[in-house]
Amino acid sequence: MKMVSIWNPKGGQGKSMISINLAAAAVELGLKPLVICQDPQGTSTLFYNSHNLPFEVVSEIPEQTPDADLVIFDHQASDWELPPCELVLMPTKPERSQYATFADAKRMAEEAGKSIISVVTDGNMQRKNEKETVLALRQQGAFEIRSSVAFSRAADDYRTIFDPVLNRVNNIKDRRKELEFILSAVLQGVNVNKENKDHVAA
Amino acid sequence: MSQPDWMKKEDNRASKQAGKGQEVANPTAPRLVKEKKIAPSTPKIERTLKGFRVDKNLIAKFDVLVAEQKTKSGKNGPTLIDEALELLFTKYKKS
Repeated sequence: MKMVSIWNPKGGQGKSMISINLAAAAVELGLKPLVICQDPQGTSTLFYNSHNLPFEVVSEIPEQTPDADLVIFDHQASDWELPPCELVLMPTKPERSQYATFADAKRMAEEAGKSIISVVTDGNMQRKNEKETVLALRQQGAFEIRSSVAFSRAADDYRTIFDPVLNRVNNIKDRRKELEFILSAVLQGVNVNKENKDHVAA
Repeated sequence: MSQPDWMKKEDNRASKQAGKGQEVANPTAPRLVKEKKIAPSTPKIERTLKGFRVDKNLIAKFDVLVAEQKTKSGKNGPTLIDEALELLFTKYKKS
């Protein structure tokens, strides 16, 4: 069983969006994921309550080892406590004030010896400054989930972007591939940022 | 394409901050205190295996019931067998 914490104390970076879509990508791969929603806002829980998700979301940490291949902890914003998992996925938007918090939190996680997967989210490549930041972060080994109507369309009905209802949405395949790429990194576990860096450099 | 200047500045600021033993940009601000919640524990039952020869048709129905109840109530096969035995005990106590 693989465990990953989705963590960044800054709100609105895409923690819940990644949690549920990463779980949906795992289902596509034939795995059984479990999302543990640790956020009082309960975004993942709201998605689950819509009955549109092909996996379970629970709000409490199960006392016994859950029957799952992949356990995803969706942490809340303003949470500066280091997450319990060895593997930490940290999303950030490509703007300076968002990156500043990400840099602080990432430093903490690095000092604690966590394996970190960085993901730059919601980048708009039409904007020169955002494009520069996205590419710089990718050069450093970050993964990318680009800004897309697919996510807002999916959220309208509390669905994941892997829901067949959204098959005709523009560029949906690209967004799904980004999530699948991140999932493969999560499943590989350690030193993924370095490997991704080498991949980007190549 | 070059890295924006501010990225390096923010990385340096985070490093300097950490060097001073300070984790966050505003350490005096109140912090969130998390209430740790763990799902209530279910009593552990010591189980043993018992072999029966059961009617094939009943087993087929039982498998369907287990599949339904797993999603509806979270009860698995052994839990449902426990429930069935309790019902049997109740039934034959009365008679």
